[in-house]
Amino acid sequence: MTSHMKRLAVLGILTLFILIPLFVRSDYFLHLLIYTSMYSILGMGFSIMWKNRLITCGQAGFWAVGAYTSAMLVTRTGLSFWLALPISGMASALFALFIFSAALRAGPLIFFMISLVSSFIVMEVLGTVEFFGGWEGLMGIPRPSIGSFVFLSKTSFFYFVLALLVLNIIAYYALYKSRIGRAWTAIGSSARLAEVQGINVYRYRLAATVIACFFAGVVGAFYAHYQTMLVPNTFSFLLSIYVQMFALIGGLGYFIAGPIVGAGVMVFLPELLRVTEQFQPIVFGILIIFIVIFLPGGILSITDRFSRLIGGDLFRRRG
Amino acid sequence: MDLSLFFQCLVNGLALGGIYALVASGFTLVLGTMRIFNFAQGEFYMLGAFVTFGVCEVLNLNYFAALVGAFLTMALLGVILQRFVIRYTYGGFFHTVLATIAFSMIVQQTAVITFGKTDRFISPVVKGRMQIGEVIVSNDKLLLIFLGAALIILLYYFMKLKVGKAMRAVTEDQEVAGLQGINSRRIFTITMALGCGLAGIAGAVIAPVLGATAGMGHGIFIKILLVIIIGGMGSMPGALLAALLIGLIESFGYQFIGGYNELLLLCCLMPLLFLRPGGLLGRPLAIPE
Amino acid sequence: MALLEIRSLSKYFGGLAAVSELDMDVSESEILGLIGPNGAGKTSVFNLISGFFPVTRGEVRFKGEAINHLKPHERAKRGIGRTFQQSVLFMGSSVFENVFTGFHMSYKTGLLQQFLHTGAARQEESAVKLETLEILDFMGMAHLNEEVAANLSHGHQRILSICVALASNPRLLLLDEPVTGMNRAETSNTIELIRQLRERGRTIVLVEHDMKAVMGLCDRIVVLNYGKKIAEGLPDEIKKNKEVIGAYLGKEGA
Repeated sequence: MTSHMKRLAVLGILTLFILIPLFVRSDYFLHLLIYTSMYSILGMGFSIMWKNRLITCGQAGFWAVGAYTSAMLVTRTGLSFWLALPISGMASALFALFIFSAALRAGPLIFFMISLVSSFIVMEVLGTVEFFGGWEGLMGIPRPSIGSFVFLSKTSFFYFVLALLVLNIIAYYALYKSRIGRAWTAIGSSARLAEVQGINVYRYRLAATVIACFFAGVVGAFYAHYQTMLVPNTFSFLLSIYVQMFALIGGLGYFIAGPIVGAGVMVFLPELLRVTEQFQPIVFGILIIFIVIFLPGGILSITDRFSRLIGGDLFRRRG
Repeated sequence: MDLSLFFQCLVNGLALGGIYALVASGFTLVLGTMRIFNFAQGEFYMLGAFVTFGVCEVLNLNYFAALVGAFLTMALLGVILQRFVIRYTYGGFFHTVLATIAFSMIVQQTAVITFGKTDRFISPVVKGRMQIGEVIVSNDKLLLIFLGAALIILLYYFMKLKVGKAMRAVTEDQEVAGLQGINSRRIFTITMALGCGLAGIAGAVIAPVLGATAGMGHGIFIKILLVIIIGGMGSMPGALLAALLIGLIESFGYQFIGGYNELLLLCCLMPLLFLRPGGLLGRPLAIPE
Repeated sequence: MALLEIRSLSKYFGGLAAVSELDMDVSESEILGLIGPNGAGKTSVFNLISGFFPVTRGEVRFKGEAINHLKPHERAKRGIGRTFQQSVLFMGSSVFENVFTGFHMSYKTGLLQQFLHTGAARQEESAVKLETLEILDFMGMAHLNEEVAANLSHGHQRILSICVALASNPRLLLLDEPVTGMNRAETSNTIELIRQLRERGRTIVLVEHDMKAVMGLCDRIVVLNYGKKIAEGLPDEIKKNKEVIGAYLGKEGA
């Protein structure tokens, strides 16, 4: 597929998505798409870190930081949502800096474990401390408004999140094509060699982490004002694991399209199969085992015959 | 704080710490030797408790049978997981982690659906209390400590055996171990069996005191991660030290600030994470570049 | 002042000394051979010089500057390049991409300029592409430009490692077993290339097991055994040195 054709395909898909609300009457369907979009953004955050051979299990925590920051700023200080939005992103980014700057020096495995623990810590703190609303959470978060227009309908939120998603995609795409992206690819391929060629591996990895968490925070703010209420249990480390699954199901080698496809699958599959919430973890578990054994490159690796498996043989010893 | 309460907290803390040490040791053995991050370790612990319930309350056998049964069934389940799932994952660390995650999700949710949210209790193995002067401590907690300590000591001596040494050799360098005539495949099976068996028997040990709940695997998993992070990976003494520390903080913390004790735990440990991200005693086990 | 000065360098792992009280100088434009039986500590010395191992005791000075505290990428920026004992490459990328990526720290145009695709940025990128081709040409790899690194023969992978190291324009080039595993023809070809690198002004330290190659190529040789320096001098002297012969024979007997 030439890059010209690729560009046309992307524009085509984008147009399709923009036109969806015209054809689809179901609010519920739009709701699912909104979730897919939010999850895609979280998934792309995972992917950018994966590109650097970092596995994060903490995306839910950073999503939460953004959501709560915005919710509390707007409801308690009356700050405008449009200011709270970027501030939430920065809050998340700062929190990431705080948690990870030391962990990153200790190696990818410690990083992974600390990200997991941080996800758990965030949920515990949000639930236990009354200041954050405790386990009952926060309610009455106002919807965003521009002048006299208030975001009420699913359609309006759909366009909002679609805009966020598109901005995200453009940002990541630009980054990946740049020298930074090349440095990341080098780090992900061989951090030792990258270091010896003058690449400050630590700093580039930290940058990727902070960027991923910034966007997670921004979409967290969106989430808070879309749902109008927040409950700590939403941000469990199970959700962080789901974020990992988005990337895996779509295809780990596809840093932008992969998480989007994966998020779509995980949002819509339970609907199609009419799986109740109780059985979802079981269904997902089976799906993951299937993919890990039979389709390790993810769904997109079927469509692209020349796909390459990134993250290949790190270890051989599995017995 | 009066002396009796102090000792009760101490006993609780040591008991908890011992349990954490057992489960964490199993986890770190598998991680160190096979580079498998067994996310499902908590579920083996949980199932161990349920097996104990089954053996004691349903089959009406004695507690010792339950201990052995829990160890063996979980060892077997672990080997099944390794042989039938993990071995076929191609792609490396991340894929195997997700395989174990998927397995844990399936097991945990099945348990939740089958057993519901209610705990299953086991009639006490030892009854009564011990009294030394003013200090009163219930016997079942003492049994916990005793069993925990016994198992830890057993593990220590096991590692000194030829098999244990072989496991250590494989952890260090698989190729060199092979040159020494060590069959890595077999070692992997034994390691996995031991790692999961330890979790199972730990569940069996705690079952008389805490009962069996579907969610208990989830809860302990975070604790053992903290144990490993604080104690350092690949370091058994480090894991033991960290586990006891965490158990004690939890136990005393609960006494003073109730529900906030989890938070206290994390607050105490966070500075450690920053100052020594490699852990107290261990050397950071890296994913090779 | 020598290009690289090593004083009393020691590296301990727990109680075990990998390197012990090493004193060594490397002069500009010389080819120095670092040899010794297996486990003598040669690669450890490289790791210490390039910054992958922190120093336990002693000092490393490069161009007169003490570099003990510098991280590997900072040492790379100062002009120390190296290859590794195993072929460490960007395995999933092509030969061209491997070397092109190696130029990373040489860029002068800022990131913002790069984002905006300014003329200066594009010019620089073209220049780097040309330099990449030059290196590959010089080392005889240009015909394999598009080949994926993982698919190369062992010999070609070793040469590619050197190409990538050259991309960082090192004053001092540390080559860890560059010809190990190569056949006669590849070996002599690579030896000649290393010689030419020195003609072009680079200083080279070589760890190698192929004695013929070492003796023929190096100006001076340092011999290590159990982490200590046991001999230093011209190739002819080293060949006859009893201690050196003893060290190698001792290991063979074991």
